Amino acid sequence: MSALQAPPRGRATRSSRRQSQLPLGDPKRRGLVLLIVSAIVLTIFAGRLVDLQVLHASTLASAAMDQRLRTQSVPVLRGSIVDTNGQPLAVTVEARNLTADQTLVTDPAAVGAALAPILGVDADVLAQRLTGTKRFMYIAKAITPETWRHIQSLRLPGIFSEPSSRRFYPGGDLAANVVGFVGADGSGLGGIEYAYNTSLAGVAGSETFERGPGGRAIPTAQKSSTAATPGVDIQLTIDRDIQHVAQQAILQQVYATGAKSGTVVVMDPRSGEILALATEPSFDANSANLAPAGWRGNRALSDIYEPGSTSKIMTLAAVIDSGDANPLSTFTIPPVLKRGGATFHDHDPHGTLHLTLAGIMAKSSNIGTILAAERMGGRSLYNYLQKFGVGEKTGLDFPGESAGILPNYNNWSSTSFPTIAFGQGLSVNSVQAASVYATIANDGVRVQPTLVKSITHADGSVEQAAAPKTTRVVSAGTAKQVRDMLEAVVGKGGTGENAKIPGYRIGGKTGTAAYVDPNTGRYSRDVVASFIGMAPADNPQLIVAVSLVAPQHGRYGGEVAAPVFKKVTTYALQAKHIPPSGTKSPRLALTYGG
Amino acid sequence: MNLAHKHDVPATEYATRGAHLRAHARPQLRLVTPLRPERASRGVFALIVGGLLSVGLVAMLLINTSLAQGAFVVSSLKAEQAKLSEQEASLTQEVTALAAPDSLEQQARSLGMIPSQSPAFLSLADGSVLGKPKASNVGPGAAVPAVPTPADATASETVDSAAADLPPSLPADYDPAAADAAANAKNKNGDSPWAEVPVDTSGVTDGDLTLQPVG
Repeated sequence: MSALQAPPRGRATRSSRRQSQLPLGDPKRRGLVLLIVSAIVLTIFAGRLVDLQVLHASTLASAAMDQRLRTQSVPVLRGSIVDTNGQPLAVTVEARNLTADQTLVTDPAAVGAALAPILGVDADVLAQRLTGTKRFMYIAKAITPETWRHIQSLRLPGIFSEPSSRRFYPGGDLAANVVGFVGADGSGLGGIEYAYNTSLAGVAGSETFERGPGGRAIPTAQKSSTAATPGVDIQLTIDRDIQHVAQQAILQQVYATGAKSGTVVVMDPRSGEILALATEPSFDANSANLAPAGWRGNRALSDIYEPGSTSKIMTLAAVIDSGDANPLSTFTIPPVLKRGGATFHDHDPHGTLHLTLAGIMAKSSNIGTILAAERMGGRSLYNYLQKFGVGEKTGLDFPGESAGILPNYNNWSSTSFPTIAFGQGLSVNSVQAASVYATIANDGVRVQPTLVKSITHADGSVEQAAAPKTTRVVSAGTAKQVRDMLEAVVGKGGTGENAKIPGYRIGGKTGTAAYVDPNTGRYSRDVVASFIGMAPADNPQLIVAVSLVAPQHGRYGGEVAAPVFKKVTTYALQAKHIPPSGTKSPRLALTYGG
Repeated sequence: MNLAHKHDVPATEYATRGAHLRAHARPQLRLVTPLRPERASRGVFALIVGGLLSVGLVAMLLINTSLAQGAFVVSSLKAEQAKLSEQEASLTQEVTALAAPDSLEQQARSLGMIPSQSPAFLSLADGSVLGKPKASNVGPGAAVPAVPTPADATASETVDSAAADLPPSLPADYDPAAADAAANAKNKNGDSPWAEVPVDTSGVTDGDLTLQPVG
């Protein structure tokens, strides 16, 4: 450039020749060109500046912020489920998820082979999961911290872990059908775990911060966090020791009798608290996915059956309460009874019998029950059954609970009244059946059953369950008379002698009802054998209801269900420190000289 | 010039005043010795500065070293804490599993215990027996070590005679230790109904009692 510009004057003679060949630079024009060029460039710059800083300012700023901001979820532990004494039924324990960076795994086969025996997974499957270009891959979920320590000590390249948690059920199948279970993602899928999932899970918090290139939080930059709300702890009314004994007893009896299923309900009639709710088949809540779906529900609440003879207590209590009979009222029982075009029999064929109302209960006479019920009429029976809670949910709000069936009085056919009177043509679940006996035990007041005792919130405050709803069903006097009649059932010559516990006064009722096959909707050859009783009968503090569906060895409630009642009640009386009163059972006349 | 204008003092007056002052005080002038820089003190100063510097550096080094060491200690302690808390969690888990009714029952059965089949209570107030205690019979399939019982006395009789042995109510000056000692002395005679039944543990192998080592 400098060569083109004006040369120093001293060399004028030499350069004058070249000058004549090149056009002389015009400084003015040059300046103008420069001005225009720089003006254009600056205009472009200014335009871009406006574009960035004014037009797209907010979008770009937020995009930059997004790049820096990192939101991390702050996990919370799922609340525990404990029994009535605070013993754990379901707890959450620390665990680790095993992860891998596939790009760092140099020899997937070797790493897979090293991990296979520890994780109990096939080496080839692991090697396959370790091969590839993914930077993040789950290898195993919820392994124990010790397992992770062991893996860590192997120093396998590309293998990492992240903190996690695992639901642990210390008792395995203990109360599993009540407590329920969780799925792979830790959310409740059954029982209390499902019903109270939101409260148990709590709300995970989050932490938002700006991070630098290294991934670390920028100390002075803005930060925000949402506090986590830990899950609540739920205390059940279940007593795990009684629950265990009930589960063992029903398990043994279901196997011994070849029954399809069985349930035991243990209840405190005064508070409505359910102390045990055992069902068989059951499952191990720690590996719920291995159990058939049908085993994971709660049959004591979901399965309904025709109560049969155990239902007679409602009919006879209603007859006494309405003033139409007393335990010593006399009835002449013909061998057969024709009603509404149907012929009704008693279980054992007999000639004409002379039974008192207590005798009808003790001998479980169908004909006698129909005759007694006819003294008060169908409408009255229907109203009493409703008050006893038949056809109405128990109020436990348990997942999969059935309300049972009580046909509307207006739809009753000519045979409905006699059959419903002795316990057919209506259906209840085991808890409803137990609740009927609890009502008689609690001087005629039905206390709504409860399973949840209290809820402990994260801040330590304890929320007691709301007082259960109570309903007066029959008078205290009626309840007392019915209890005396129930003692006769377990007494000499009654159907429930197997339920007798030496030293105690026991009242109860056997039941052997036709079983309606849920697949066909018709009566099958099988039966539902049941026994529901109370102890001690003179001051009832325990209701134990046992039912076995379709037992193959043995058939009658007094034969297959009463021994389970005895076993469970014997233990529960000791566990709850309930001594016998030492008083004698009343001796009600069952027959009369006719 | 400006001054002259302002104060209107004639120039002559300055001259006379000066002459007057000169006549009045004649200051004594003397030769001031120049301040010589002290070469010795500069060396000391350098020494002090150098010393301070090196002390500072050494101190920094020491502090840094101890900080780094502290960091190491903290991180190793943290790792240990994490390990211990994990250990605690797994042990708690193990205890809850062992304390579950199912495993307790198994342990009790392996010790030869069976569930009581006749609930009965002993009233501390009057020593009476509530309920009808009976010896529980072992199920046919249960593998339980034999517990020798006196052939001529059923358990209910044992308890009945025991009840008769007890005072109807405890005296005011009841001393449990003395009562125990008396009972022990009685036991030695072998005539007390409270004598412990010797349990034959020959059928119980050590394996039944040992807990499984933790994998």
